[in-house]
Amino acid sequence: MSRRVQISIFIALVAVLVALAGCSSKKEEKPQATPPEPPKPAAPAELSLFIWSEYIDEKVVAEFEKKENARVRITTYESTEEMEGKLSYSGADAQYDVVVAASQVVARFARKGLIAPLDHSKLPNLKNLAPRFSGPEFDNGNKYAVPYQWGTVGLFYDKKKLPNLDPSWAVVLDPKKTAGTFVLIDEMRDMLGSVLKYMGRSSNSTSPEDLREAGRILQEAKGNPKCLGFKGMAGVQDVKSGTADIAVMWNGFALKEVSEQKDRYAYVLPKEGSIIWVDTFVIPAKAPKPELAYKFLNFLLEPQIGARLSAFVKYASPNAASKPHIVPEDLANPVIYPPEDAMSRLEGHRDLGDAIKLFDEAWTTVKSR
Amino acid sequence: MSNRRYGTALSAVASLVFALLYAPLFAVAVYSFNRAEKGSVWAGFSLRWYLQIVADPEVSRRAFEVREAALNTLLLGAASTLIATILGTLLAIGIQRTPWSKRAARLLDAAIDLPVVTPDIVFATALLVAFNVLRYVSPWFNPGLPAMIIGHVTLQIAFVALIVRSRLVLIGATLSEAARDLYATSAYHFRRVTLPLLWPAIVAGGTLAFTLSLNDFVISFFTCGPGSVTLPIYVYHSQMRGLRTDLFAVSTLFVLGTIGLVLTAEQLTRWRRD
Repeated sequence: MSRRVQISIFIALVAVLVALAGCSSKKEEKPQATPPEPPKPAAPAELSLFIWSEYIDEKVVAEFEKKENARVRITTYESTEEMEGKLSYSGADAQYDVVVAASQVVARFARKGLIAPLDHSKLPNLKNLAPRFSGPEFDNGNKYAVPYQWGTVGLFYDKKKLPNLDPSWAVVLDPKKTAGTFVLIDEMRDMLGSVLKYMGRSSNSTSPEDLREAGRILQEAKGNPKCLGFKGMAGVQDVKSGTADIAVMWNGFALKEVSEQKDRYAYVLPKEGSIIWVDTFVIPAKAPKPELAYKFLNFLLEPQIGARLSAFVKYASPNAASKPHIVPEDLANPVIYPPEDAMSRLEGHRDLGDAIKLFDEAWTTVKSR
Repeated sequence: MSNRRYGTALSAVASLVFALLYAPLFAVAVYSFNRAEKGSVWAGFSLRWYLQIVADPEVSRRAFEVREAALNTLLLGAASTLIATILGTLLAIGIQRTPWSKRAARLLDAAIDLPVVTPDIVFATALLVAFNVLRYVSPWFNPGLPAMIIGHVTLQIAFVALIVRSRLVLIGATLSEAARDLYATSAYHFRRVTLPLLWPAIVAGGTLAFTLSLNDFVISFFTCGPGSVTLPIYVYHSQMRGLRTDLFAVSTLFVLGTIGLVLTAEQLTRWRRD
């Protein structure tokens, strides 16, 4: 093979590769023709949604696409911190129309000017929300956020291995009482909040001593040889595959396994109390398609749709009008809708203003050591 | 005798190294045929995840997303490699063939070495800060594919230049001088002398650049926008819910593709000395 032939082969190869990638991606994206330049936003009616992975029923999304003749582009993130970083530092706030954010960060987003107050006239279905999620207690009556799902943080464990597990945070946080190998949860407010509950404090505590102590307890738990690290939903898989015996977990992900194998897995809310979290939808201030975003949110607030969304993720719906449509077993399931006495021991995340730095510090210290 | 024992030990170590290198890849390939949707519990042999990758995007959003991520990865790799290989080669020639003062030469050396040794995360955050300002100048710097290509090229150039330059040093000036003595024009000299001699280094640099781009997580992570997610990022975002088996399948295809690429590059750089 002469050198010239070699050169031309190489050039041809590269050209083919580029052409292949170019045209096949074009073919795929024809209905949306996503341009990489967001200021001149995509082809008409593309809604860009920023959400946790596998957190919305694709069938519901497809139904919305059909109804509004729109396309929904779903981009996923892996942690609240990642999402917040994206929105605040790289101009992504002008690329997404609807963002799913935990309720505790909404006020901070608003202070940073990242999100816009909601125009309630475009969300008539807000009336469907339960009072707890729409009243003055919650985001000043949905000033910025529409609640999506709510749930709890608890212990997901293998009943076969640990038949008599004490429902207490001590089984993971106290090295003397560790019941088995365990995985902690990789979410700052949920994990530190749980530790604070274990200490008998408020999970919204802003006392530096409390957080120093919480950091110390968590550090100790992390140093425990039975600790297999901090994980997200993957903790469920660890318990399932037998790597870990206990995982600190969100109820929804635990529930899928618990309902499939009732005699094998269980989920408990520790007796010291725990966290109740609410995920919400917000609309960025610079959203390219706010009108479509409102239509999407209003659609998701419809009674039947709300029930379907919750049936898919196995979390509790904040939508009161959805109640008659919710799968009866789910409604009766204490893992999804905790009974009243358990509810009284649960605490929701509040916006802590500047005091969030105490959490950040404790969390970073634990995670980086 | 001792020599033989030495040889046995050496081959044992070598096999261990190869086993460590390839066992994880092999495990991924095996698990891509797992019937189970996710996790490491074996549920039986199945090709369903390979079929899932090619499913109709109208029916399966997942198939569309995985394919789009794979294509983005390839497109990003191809585009950035092409640009970086050309620019990096020119940079190397420029540094080597221009009579720089000693101090300037040392400065240029450092300028090439620096991006190679800088940790990715430092590089990525620096890009992020720069892009944050530059996006007011041009929409190209908004999170998205163009910004990712620019980011990858920035990283790759140094690697290409480093490899091409070492080859230039190895070749020396004699052949160029001979060409000049024989009245070769600049263009002719470049085409018939420099380029053929540099070719193996250019291919090697290009291959390395492409690999860097395929591998890259950090830079893409900081610069990607909606619709420009690459496979490494897609996998990362999926791990929170437990990796689905279709990702193993697409990874296996990627590994096979990479093997093909390496073999091709090998062919292209092989010297015909006979």
